[in-house]
This record gives sequence, structure tokens and C-alpha cells, in this order.
Amino acid sequence: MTNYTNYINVGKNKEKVDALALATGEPLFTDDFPLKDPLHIAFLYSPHAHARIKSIDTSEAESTPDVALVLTYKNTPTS
Amino acid sequence: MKAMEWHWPKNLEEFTRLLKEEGALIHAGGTAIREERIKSAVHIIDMSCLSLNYVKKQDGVWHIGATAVLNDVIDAFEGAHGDRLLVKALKNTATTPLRNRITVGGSVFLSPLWSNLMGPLLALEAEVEVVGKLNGMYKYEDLLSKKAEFQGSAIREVRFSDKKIMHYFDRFARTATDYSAFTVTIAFAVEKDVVKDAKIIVTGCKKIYERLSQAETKVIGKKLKELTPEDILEGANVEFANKPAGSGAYLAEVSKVFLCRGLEALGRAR
Amino acid sequence: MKANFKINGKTFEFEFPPHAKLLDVLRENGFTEVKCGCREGFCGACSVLLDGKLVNSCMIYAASAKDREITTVKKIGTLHEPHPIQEAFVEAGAVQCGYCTPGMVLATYTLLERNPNPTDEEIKEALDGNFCRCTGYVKIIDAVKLAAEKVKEND
Repeated sequence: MTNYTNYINVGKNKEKVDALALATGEPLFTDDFPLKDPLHIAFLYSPHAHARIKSIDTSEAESTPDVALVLTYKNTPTS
Repeated sequence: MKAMEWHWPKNLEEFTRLLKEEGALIHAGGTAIREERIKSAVHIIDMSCLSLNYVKKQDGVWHIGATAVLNDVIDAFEGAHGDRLLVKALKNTATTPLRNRITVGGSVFLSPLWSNLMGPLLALEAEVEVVGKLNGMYKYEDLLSKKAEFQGSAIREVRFSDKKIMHYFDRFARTATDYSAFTVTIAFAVEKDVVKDAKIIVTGCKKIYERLSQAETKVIGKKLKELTPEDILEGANVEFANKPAGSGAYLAEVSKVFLCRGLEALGRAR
Repeated sequence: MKANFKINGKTFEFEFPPHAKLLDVLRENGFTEVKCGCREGFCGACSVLLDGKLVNSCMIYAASAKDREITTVKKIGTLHEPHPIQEAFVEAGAVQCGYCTPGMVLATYTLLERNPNPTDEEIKEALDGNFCRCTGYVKIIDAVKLAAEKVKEND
């Protein structure tokens, strides 16, 4: 029988960090957090599987009322 | 959108008056009413304040109020007499939390094809007390055969005599919480090991339910240990529609197996 | 429509459409410990105690629960004052994603109230309305047995 006394985690019974919070119903899931007037996001994907994007025209979307923001590669941070 | 209103009538007079309203929908407290159905109602008549959630025995007759839930019935019967036909049927129905809401009144009024209550209540020769458009006591089998006539009425109470019977109940379903594809109920009144009266009922079939009266006749007068299931069930042919749990032919075969098992179990019992 | 509810010992007045389910009324008013799983009365994530009885709040119209007593898992125990049942679930390794856990705790609570020494079969029957996709139930059953011991020790 291997001696695990010199190990911190191996062979030890470790309590799951959030187990008690989950068992007591603490808000931990996305839907548990209240959002007041959230923005809703919709994705538009390329209709072509293998193609070169020549241009993206966002003018109609941007001029639509209630559209807060249109994100494309032009204004989305990559890092 | 029509304005929906909830009502909580405090007595039967108020209740029956509201029943007559256009767009009236009765809510006994169970789980059968879907959201679309509720939204299309104008008056929702909640039965929870009518004090109909009792299960009691008086002068040898059991009285079960319409808003008594299935677990209330199980508790009352288990406490009083231990093994009971209704307890077996109800314990195989839905799940514990659902049985804390599903009402006897709602279950009996709707008596869907998959009901576990149908067979036992028929075997117990149950009666229902009805209020509303129709008023008075009706045999449960009459309710089953003339459901349309009972629209606009409501069940107030289910009643049956407390008889000492030997019983068998089983149901066929794919999983523990699946709807029953069929149920088999066998009830014998027995004196000194001789069958004096018998009810052999299959529910969930094409005819909704079938009493195997020929089999019942063969059993009456026989001693329990003399029962031969194959002979008794000869000629019995219950027809089933195709269901998710199996084809009509398959269910017919399995129901015969269940009937055999039931008769054998009762034959061995004392 | 408006109605009063007594939740975890305090009375609240909520406004909601007549066809609203109790689950939604509770969650929208901050009782997010009551989880939404299937909306069909099967999974038990939405379990609450209604006048002390275990029920699926997704199958109850809020209006039909008016003026009644509702108990959520937070009344059983909180992060700072957990109930032995909740501690048992943690110790037995019965909590993985934790979504089913509030419902399981409530089901265990009502079971042990009626039956302080349940057999495995009785545990399975009492928790038959609570589904878990993570644990495979074995540790949950262990947790209930451990909880039964802890509750007895506490008395």
C-alpha cells in the first residue's frame, strides 16, 4: 500500500471547491444573475463554406433602430 | 387577449355557479392543464378552497374528495390496511413530487387511456359524486363510457365499499416514469380458499378497457390452488393499437403474460 | 394579477400574468436557487416544498399557490449555516455540476422528516422525481444515508 502522507493532493479526499455553494443554492449559473434590459446578440455566418470575404456591408443593420452595435473583424479586438 | 380570471370558490354553490360561465375551466390542483389551455380560458375555477382533499372511511365506505392528491390516498391506505390494490396502482404512477399534485378528481374525470386508476376503480365498483350540469351519484363505468355528457360538471367525490379482496395489479411501460401501455387488474372475493367473485380487467386497449367476463366465470367457484391460467384465459383476446411501447400484436401477447402471472400469483397466495 | 406567497417564512406580494408558472415567478423575483430544468415535471430541478410537500414548481400555476407556504433549499440551509443534509452531499461527493442538488436536498429533507432510517429502495422512491446527469446516483444515495446519520446525531 503506497504511502501518500508526503503528498498534498494525491491520495487525499479533496472537497469540491464550490460544492457547498451549489448545495445551498448560491447563484452560480449564468441564468441566476439578473440582467436589466440586456442586449441580445445574433450571429450572421457566411453562407459559403470556402470563400474569400471581399466586403461586408453593415450600413443597413447599423441604421436599423434598436441596433446598439454591429461587430465585424474591423472593430472586434483579436487579442 | 381575453382577460383571464382566477376564482377560488369557498363553497359548492359558488363553484357550480361559476361552472356555468362561458370559458370556465376547472383546476383541481393537478398537472394536466397545459399552458395553451389555461391561456384560452376566461374563468379558471380553482377547487383548492372547497376542502375536498379528504380520504376517509365511513360505515365501511371509502370517500375520496376530488382534490385529494395521489400521495394522500397512498398514505391513508397504507396507514390503515397495508397492502391495498389502489396503493400498488398509485405507487406505480408518475413520481413522488407529481403525486403530491395529481388529484383523484382530475385523474378520474380525465381517465386517460394510460390511467393506472381505471382498472382498480372498476374492480372496486367505484362510484362518483358529480356536481354542476349533472348532479348525483354515477357509476365510474358510466363516466368512462359517456365522458362527453360530463362536460360542464365536476367530480366532488369518489366512493367505493371497503371490501376484503385478493388482488393483483401490474402495468407495462418502457421505464418507471413512462405512461402505462396497459394495466392488468385482477380482484377476487375469496371465502375459504374458494373464489366467490372475480374481476379481471385490462385497460389501455382498443376498447379503452375490457373485462374478461368469460375468464371471470371460469374462475368463480374454483379453489385458488386449482386455478389454471392457460384454461382460464383461453379465448381471451384483448386488442391493442400500436403504441410507442410496442405494436398492437406485441402488447396483446405481453398482456396475456401479465394475466397469467396475475392468476398464478393469486393461485399461490393465501 | 397579484398574490401573496409566504416564502421561506417571509410574505411577499408578486405581480404576474394568470398563466405564469410558480417556477418563473420565483426565479424572476430573485429565488434563483429554484432551477429550471425540463419544464415538464420530470427532472425535479425546480423542486420546492409547498406546505411542506415536495412538488415541481414548473408544473404549478403561481395563482394556484397563492397564500401558501413555499420552502426553497435556502430555508433548509445556507452557505454560512448549512444543513447536515447539504454537508452530507458535499462530503459524499454527490455534487458535480450541482444543478440537481437543490432539488435532491429538498427531496432528502422531506424523506428524512417522514422516515429517519430509509432503506436504499425507500431512498430511490423518494428521490424518483429528481434526475441527475452527472453523478450516476450512487453517491447521491450514499449522501442521503450519510445525511440520515448526521441528522440523527444532531437530534
